[in-house]
Amino acid sequence: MFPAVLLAAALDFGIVRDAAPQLARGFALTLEIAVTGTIGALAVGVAGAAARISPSAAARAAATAFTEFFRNTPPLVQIYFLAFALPKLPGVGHYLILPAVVAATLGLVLHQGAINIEILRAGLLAVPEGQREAAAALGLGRIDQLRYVLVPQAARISLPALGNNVISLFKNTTLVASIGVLDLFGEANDIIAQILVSAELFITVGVIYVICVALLGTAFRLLERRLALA
Amino acid sequence: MSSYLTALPALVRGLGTTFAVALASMALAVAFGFIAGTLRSVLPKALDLPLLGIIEFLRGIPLLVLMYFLFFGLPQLGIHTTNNAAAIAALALYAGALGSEIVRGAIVSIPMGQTEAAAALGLGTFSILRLVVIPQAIRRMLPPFVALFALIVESSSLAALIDVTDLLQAARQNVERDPDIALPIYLTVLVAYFIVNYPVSLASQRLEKKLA
Amino acid sequence: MPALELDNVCKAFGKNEVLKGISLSVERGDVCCIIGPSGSGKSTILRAINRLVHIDAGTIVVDGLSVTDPAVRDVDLRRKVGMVFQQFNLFPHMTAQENITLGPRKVLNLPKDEADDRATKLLAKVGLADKAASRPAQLSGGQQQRVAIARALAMEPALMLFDEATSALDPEITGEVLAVMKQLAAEHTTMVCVTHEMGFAREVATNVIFMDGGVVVESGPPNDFFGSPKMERTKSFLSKVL
Repeated sequence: MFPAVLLAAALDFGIVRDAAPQLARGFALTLEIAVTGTIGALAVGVAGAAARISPSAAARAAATAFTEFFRNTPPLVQIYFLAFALPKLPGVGHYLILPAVVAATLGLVLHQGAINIEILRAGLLAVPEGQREAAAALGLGRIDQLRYVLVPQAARISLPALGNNVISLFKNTTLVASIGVLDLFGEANDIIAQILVSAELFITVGVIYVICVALLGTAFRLLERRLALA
Repeated sequence: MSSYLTALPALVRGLGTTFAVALASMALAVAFGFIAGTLRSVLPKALDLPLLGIIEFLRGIPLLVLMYFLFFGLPQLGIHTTNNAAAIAALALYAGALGSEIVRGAIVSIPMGQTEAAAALGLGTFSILRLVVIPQAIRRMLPPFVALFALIVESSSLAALIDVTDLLQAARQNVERDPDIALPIYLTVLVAYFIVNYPVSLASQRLEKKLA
Repeated sequence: MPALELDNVCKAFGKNEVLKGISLSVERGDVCCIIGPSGSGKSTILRAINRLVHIDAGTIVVDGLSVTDPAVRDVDLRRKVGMVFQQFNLFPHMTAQENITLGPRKVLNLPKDEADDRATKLLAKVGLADKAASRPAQLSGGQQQRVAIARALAMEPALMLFDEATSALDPEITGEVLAVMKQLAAEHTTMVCVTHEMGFAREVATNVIFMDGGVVVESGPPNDFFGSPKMERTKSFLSKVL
């Protein structure tokens, strides 16, 4: 209790009240990036996982290289690469000058997408082989087998890990602020740069993120329960 | 390209800092993880709740926010830190929270029969943990802890944003001086992180299979 | 033209030669039962017929379509062949109705109501009209296998393959599935059954084939086959299982 009182004495949360409109704008952008990023990462995950179990060795090799490279390198560095290195590509660099928001979201999509590929690949491998055989025996082609039989089951198996990855992505949206995007964290930093006082805003923003993460976690647990097959 | 070559020594020094930060954070994270995880596995629910709250908070807050708070926010409350200290502290707290879940999970996965047999011999709670449960649990903790190290190395890149001269910061500084080398520099940085993390990630997977 | 014709089919998995020159023929409306010890290659034959497994040598012709001809598409072949698996392999995330309508809708491109209509009739046929909305997890093993049979029949195939359809069922429940299979046989469905149920084979088969070690040891109509087996291996196998 004593440290809390000490803290409260040194801090002025009126700052937060004044900053609220700006923070709200930033939060809206955070949500936008999070949703776009999650959808994009899921698409990358499904496509990549399908490629990694493809009969084509070339597809498998390409997908594996992509997965291992983008999930073992920091998303922050990937964002910097997309924002600052791409435009310097000889010849085509001119067309690759991405708006900061795009570069940042793309970085998240690639990194969390690569993680999704690994998660879904494990999920697909966990689906009993008999399911693929039954689907094939009915005459379904590879894509339809994946679409109607294999991926729906793999997704259920992978749901907890996928949920964790969505939470990771949500927390990683803060990285976009590093290249000047005004998400919740970016706006907070913007205000701090002007008023030169930071603790209140960081605490507030931190708590907002923690609450969102808790809500996401609960949502996923509910989803797992709803989709359970047994 | 000569400015790329002159930048390389700085990148190497930066990589050294990255390693130092990562290792220091890992050591602290393992320590926190062990203490918190072991405690949580034996505490009654009422006492466990505050600990759970802290861990969930540390897992829910973005690492960047935590780092910025420690470096920029604490001075406001009279606590001044260096940027290295703030970076290591943030990483250690975050990874420590993850570590506590690894430790707790491994301890809880040891069959009750082991605890019961030890108790029947007359051993007390902490002796049971120390002599019977934890030695067996350590094997199960290895793969996730190895993976945690890769995560720490990856996350340490955030330290660049509070001016720790790690690999990413060294890169940023050199690109600022000569923006045209952005492509080779950032590519080099990506490859460097990959060379460090990929073997660690593979090791974790292989350990998992071996010890399953 | 026979419904199914195999000529000198060979298949090896690595160094393991599983099929060493199998030849057999099944006329339309016939029921062919394949029996034999585990590992004799029986299941591999069924999987070779609908290309779940690719053979190394020989030919297989299903209702005029050559399985070994690469110009014949998988989907065209598999429309003609229905398969019922030992482990049922029902899709757990779909209801019984949806399991049955998946093939007709996505492979035969039937409109939804026509597919649903087919499914309803087939569910009634296998005695599960009230289970249309049930998920596999809510059904017993026997019920699941009957849905699996309906699922294969929904494609209106020229040939039905049964891969040890009752082996995974408790003995008390095999009866309900065998009853459905006997009914199909009575309706002159062309069937190839790998089975351990000798009573079923004796009662329903047009032809019984005994396989051991990747070759056809002996074959013949059930009365001849069970009544007076010619080969020593056949006699020895039958004495163990009967």
